[in-house]
Amino acid sequence: MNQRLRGWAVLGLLALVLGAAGIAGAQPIHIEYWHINSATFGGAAVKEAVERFQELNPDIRVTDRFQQGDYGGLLNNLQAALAAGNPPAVAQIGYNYRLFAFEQVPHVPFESFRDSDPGYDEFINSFVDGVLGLGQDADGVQRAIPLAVSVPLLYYNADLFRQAGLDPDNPPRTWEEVRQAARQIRERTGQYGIGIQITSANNWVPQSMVESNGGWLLDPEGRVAIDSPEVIEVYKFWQDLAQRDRTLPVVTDAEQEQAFVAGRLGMYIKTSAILQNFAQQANFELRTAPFPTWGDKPRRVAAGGNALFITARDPGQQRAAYEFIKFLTSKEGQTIWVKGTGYLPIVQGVEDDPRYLADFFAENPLMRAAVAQLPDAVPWAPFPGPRGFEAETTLAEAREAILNGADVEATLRETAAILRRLLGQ
Amino acid sequence: MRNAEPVQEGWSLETGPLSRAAWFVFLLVLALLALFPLWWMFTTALKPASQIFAGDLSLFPRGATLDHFRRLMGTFNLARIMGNTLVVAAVTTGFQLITSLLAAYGFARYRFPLREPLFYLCLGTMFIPIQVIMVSNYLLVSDWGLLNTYAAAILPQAASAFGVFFLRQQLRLFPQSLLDAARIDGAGELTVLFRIVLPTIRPFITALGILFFINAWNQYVWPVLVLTDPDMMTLPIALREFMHSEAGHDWGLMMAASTMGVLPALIAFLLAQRMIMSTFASTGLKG
Amino acid sequence: MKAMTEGRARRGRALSLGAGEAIRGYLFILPAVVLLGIFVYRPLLETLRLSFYEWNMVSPTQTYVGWSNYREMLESPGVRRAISNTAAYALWLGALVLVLPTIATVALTYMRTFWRRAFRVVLFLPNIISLATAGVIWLWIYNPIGGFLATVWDALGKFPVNWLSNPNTALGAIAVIVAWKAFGYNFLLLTAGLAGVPQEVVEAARVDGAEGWVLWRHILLPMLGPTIVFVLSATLVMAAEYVFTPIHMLTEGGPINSTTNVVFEIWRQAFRWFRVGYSSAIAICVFLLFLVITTVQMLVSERVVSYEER
Repeated sequence: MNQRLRGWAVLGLLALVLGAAGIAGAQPIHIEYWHINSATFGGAAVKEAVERFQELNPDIRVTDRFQQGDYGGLLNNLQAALAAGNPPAVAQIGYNYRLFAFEQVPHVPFESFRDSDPGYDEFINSFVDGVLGLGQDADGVQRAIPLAVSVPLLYYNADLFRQAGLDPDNPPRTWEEVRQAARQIRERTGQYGIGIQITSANNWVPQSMVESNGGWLLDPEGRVAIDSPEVIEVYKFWQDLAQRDRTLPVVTDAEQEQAFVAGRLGMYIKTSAILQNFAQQANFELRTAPFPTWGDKPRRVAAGGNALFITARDPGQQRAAYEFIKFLTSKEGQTIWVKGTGYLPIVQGVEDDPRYLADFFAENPLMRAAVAQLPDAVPWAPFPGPRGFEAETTLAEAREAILNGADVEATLRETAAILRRLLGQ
Repeated sequence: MRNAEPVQEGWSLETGPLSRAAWFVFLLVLALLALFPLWWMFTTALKPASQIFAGDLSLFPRGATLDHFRRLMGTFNLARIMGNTLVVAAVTTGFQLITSLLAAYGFARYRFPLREPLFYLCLGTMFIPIQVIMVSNYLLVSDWGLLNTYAAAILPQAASAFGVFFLRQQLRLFPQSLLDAARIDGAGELTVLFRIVLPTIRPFITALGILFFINAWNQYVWPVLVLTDPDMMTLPIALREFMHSEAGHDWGLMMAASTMGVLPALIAFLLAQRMIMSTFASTGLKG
Repeated sequence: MKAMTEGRARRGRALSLGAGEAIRGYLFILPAVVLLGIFVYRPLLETLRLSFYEWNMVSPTQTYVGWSNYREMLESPGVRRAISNTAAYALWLGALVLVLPTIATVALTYMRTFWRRAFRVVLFLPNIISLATAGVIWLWIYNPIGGFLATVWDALGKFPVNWLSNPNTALGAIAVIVAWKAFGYNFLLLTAGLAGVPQEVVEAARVDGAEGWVLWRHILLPMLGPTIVFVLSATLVMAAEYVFTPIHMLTEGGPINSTTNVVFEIWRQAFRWFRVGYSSAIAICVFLLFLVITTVQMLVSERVVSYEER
């Protein structure tokens, strides 16, 4: 009896010691990364980045979790997870939600790590000019770090172009040219001519369209401006494409995408971020062109994409999240990211460096259209305040009504009134 | 209440051949409308990808291929999702049967204060739409830290008012004398319930179990709120996510996924349709 | 010997009465009652409480706002739209899964046994399928670029209709999905109800000279009365609850609020726009509505049954 007892005691002590050693030693920290990159939209790049990060940081384990419903859906789920007390460590917040997130989503400001990380300043200076502003609040506090930037592109099906008698080397440059080309495609091939991204409720492409015409959805002071003549003109044009020309299908965004990939839609205005995906899926010759302009007016495109927020509660996780974010926006991380998507890199020196993206950009002329537009990028307009979501949806509904034939001016005026009420103006 | 015997054939009426033919065509059209979407789903799942968007109306796929199913197995974590659905459905059914049986026995066999009010309170829950309470339930479940667990999907459905109602009806008909005889022999209450009562009402339990299982398997409204983690999703929810993300383009894949979702229920139905149908029928009959 | 057994029996019975029995009774019903209490009644009360607050689900503070949520509901055009949509769904479903199955039930009585069985099975089949799967299948059928209906329209030289993206057709399109699945259930209930009419009654009526339309109008349909009432209330429940799934999956209330209904608004206000208080106010009103409908159904049912027994 005594022997056995002693035996157990020794084993127990051993276990205790080993256990303590185990705990004291590198117990990996688990963090969750929430993103909107499905398997067909950069999911593989996410996994690759995670793997590489884990190689470099064996004491951190990252689980990536795809969230459906685009940035809005992710934000919804994030709010629910915060309410439940188990938020992820890192979350992608669309640029248009950044103000909302600054105020309403509990997070650890990125710059709070400045004092504890000697490499902080070097890291901050590695970014391309102006991009960091996407993660700063009104007081200039660096709360989040932008992951990447996308711009809307004009994708087109070169094969359909040829069939319709159009020259794929000379894509339409203005909206008027787009309209003509779309008509031609419709007449000569019977397929739809042009599609425009309308993902969920957000108004990313409409903002680009409107600001390129000199108008605003929300003017620089944040006031609702959708009932101005410039905006009305844009929506009228859009309506004509749908109703008069019948070259634009009035369907969901997913259906437009399906049609384009299946060769039933000639041109498609969509984010540059889906470039690699389209390139893989399309079995026709895919080409890209810059976002169309309104005659001679300067092009303005809203910078799409997201910023990474640290939403972890536990200090260990917060630190791990900080490191993870630094990796994703390092040269290596950006290289993986850009190659797998079509997002534009936001750190300096990657494009020309043969270790990183020089070859990629050389071999991928399709990316050029996107890169060429970076100078024209403007911030993605957020709908601020607690009723911001509703406001966004309301504007999207106005667009639906217009595309289905409603009177453009009346609809926009009505909607402007509703938006002003929702946004407290 | 009619017990779970096959739906009666009843009587039939005579009428002129022209009239009968007209009625027949009417029913035939309805039957075709009922079957057509399923047929379309099958054929799309078997069509080669190039034919799917090609504007091809043929009712039979030319050159049928299992390609979409193959890819489904590869892309979509089908095994995991079916597993989840099975666990949730089976455990929910189990809980519902047990709690319904116990409660029905309690209400039918015993007298105690507040028995009738309590019974009607239980019954009352059948008439409260799930959406009225789903937000509060969601907050409750998340406060308990149970989001994205099987428990979250199962617990709020673990008791079934209909089950209590249905079984109580059956138990009331159970002869008291048999129970008394057993009690006198010194049998404990639970023994009485399980050894004597249960075997006799087994067909009803089976019928109820089938009903519960099918409903739990197909459930969407509640699980979609609490199972957002791709590893924990059940089939109906996974279909939605699949639709919105991965396979949005790929109708061949989507239809293959739907086919997989439909297949278990379809097979079960074809094997036991009389029993299934009579169970569903008995949910509505008065008596 | 006999006295002893009897005595024991009497004691046994005595034991089963009184406190012992009550305790056992409570124990048996405990699991179900506790579960229903926690997961139905408590949330119901909590929803009532929340309806008087404004809360975005995340912040730790809930702001008391009294009746303001209810007042907003009364004035809100969005809610009014949801209500009118719910009524529209009820009409659609009434036509497709109440009237139509009743006619089909009539038709079935003229069929020979083999065909009856066959039709019953076939028409019930879609009911086994989950609404989610039904939604996906119909989404594909409705697809305006390459879907079945679009291809047919193309072949007929017409411009395809965007069933789910056009505010004029979207509600009907959703209703059709629910109707397709639910038809079988109502049909089954109605045929079972009709089969319950005793053969003698039918024979007696026919001997009395009642045939065809007269037979139906005065004898058979009234006997089907209670079943029809039940099916009617089931249909109303479908118009509110069932449609939720396809709406949630396919249109999320759009386009332009043409497919939302009162129950979907409950979800949308809470989970899309984070106004838990407002969502709860809508939920309470829906609950009261259902209370009314159920009570009316029970009263009518009583009256119809007593009429039938006359």
